[in-house]
Amino acid sequence: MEDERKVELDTVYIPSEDMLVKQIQGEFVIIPLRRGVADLEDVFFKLNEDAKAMWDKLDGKKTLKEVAQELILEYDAALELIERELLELAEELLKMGMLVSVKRARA
Amino acid sequence: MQDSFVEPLKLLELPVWEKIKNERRLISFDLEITARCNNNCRHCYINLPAKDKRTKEKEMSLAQIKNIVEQAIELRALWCLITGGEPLLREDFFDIYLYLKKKGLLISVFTNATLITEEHIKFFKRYPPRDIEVTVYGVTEETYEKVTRNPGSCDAFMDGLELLLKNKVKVRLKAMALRSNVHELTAISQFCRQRTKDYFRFDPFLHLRFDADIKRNEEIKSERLLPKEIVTIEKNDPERFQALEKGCDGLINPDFAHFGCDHLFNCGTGNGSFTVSYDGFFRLCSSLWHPDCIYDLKKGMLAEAWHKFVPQVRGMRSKRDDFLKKCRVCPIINLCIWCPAHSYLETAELDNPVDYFCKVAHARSESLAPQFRPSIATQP
Repeated sequence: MEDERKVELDTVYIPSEDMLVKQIQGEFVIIPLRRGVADLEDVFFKLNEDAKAMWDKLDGKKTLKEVAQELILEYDAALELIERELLELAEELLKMGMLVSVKRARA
Repeated sequence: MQDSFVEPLKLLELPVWEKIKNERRLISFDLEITARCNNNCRHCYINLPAKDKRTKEKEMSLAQIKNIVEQAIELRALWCLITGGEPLLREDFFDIYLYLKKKGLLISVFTNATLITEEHIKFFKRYPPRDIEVTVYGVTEETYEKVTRNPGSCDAFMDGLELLLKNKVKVRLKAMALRSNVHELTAISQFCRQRTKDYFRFDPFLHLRFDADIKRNEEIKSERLLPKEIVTIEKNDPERFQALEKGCDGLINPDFAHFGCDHLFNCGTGNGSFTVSYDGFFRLCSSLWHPDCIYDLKKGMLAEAWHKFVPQVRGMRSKRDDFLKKCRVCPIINLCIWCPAHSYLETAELDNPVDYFCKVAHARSESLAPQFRPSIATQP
C-alpha cells in the first residue's frame, strides 16, 4: 500500500478544504475549520511569505515539480533548492492535515 | 527562502490586537439570531416566548444572515458571537453556524444548554466553537427554576452541560446574580469553577428590556441586588475584586475623561464590534436600542453602518445640564454601569442619570482601598 504521507515531486497537492487562509494585518494566517486538522488548543498557523507563495500555487492541478518551475521565475534560487523546500513544506502541511494529495502525475 | 514555513500562532498572538490599540477596526460582531427563548427568566432583557409566531416571522432568514456575514467579513471581522434569546431554538442553527465556520470566523455561542442534544455534540466536535458560554441560574432545581420559570429546565440544563463537558466541547460558565438566586451564589460559583477552571464570571447588573415591557421591567428591577449586596458579593470573589481594584481606571476612554466635553459616549462602543438584532437592525452594542442609534440592515449596507453611521452616533452630544454636571464629569464613572444605552433603557433618554447606578458606583468606590480609587480629574 502506498504511503500517502510520502511527498513526491510528481504528485499534485491541494490545501485541505478544512483550512482557510486569511490575511490578517499583513500576516497569512491559517484557520482550521474543523477538528482533526492541526488540533491544538487555541492555535492558528502563520505562513511566512515564501510558504504563502508556495501555498497559493498548490491548486490541485500542478505537480510540485511544475510549481517549482513557476517559482523559479519569482525567486533567485536554484531549482534544486526550491524543490527541496517545496518538499519540506508539503511534508509539514501533510502531517498537519493542511494539505491533501490529489493524484500522481502520469509518467 | 527561510527555514520555518509554518508557525503556530495563539489567538492572543494574532497581529490584530496591537493594531486595534491605535485604530478603529472591526474585530467581532454579535448575531442575535432570535429574541425567543424556551426559558422565561425573571431578569432577562430578551426572552420572548419560544412559540411567539410574530417574533419568529420577524427573525432574519438564513439568506439575510449570510448576506450580513459576508459583508462583515469584507470589513475584516474575525469573530462572531451567536446569541439570542436562545439560539438553539432556530431550526436552521446548524446552517447558520456552519456558514460562519466555513467563512473562517471564530465562533462563540451563548446558550442556556437546555436544548443541547447528541446531535449538537457531534456537530460541535466536528466544527468546534471557540467557546460556548452557558449561564448557570442555580445549582438546585428550586433556585434554577425559580429564575427560569420553566419546569424541567434544571434537569435539561444539567444534562446539556454534562454532554458538552463530557465531550470536551469548550465551555465557559457564568452567572447572573439576582434576588432569586443570590443565596446560592457561592454554590453556583463553586459549581462553575469546578467545571471550567480557566474562566468564571458573574454579573450583578441587570439590564432592562429591549422591548421596554413595563411589567417585565418592574420584575427585573425587583430582582436587582442592593448596592451593598453587590459590593459584598464582589468582595467575596477575590479574583474579581482585585481585577476591579487594578483595572478600574482602564475602563475610561482618556479622550473623554476631561471637563467641558459634551459627548454622550465615553466607552469603546462601535470601535471594534457591533451587534445585529434578530430582526436585522445594526447596533453599536447589545444594549443600545435608541431609535437614533440603530440602522436597518434590511435597507442599507453594513459598510455604510460601520463607516458612516457609527461615527455619527459616537459624535452625539448632550445639552442636558444634570448629565453634563453629573455623569459626564463623574470621577467614578468607570465604576458605574451608566452609559447612554442603559440610560435609554431606564429612562427613555440617552443622557439621564440613573439613581440606582449612581448608588452602586458609589458603594463600589467606597469599597476600594484609597490607593485604588479612580484618580481621573475631580475638579473642573
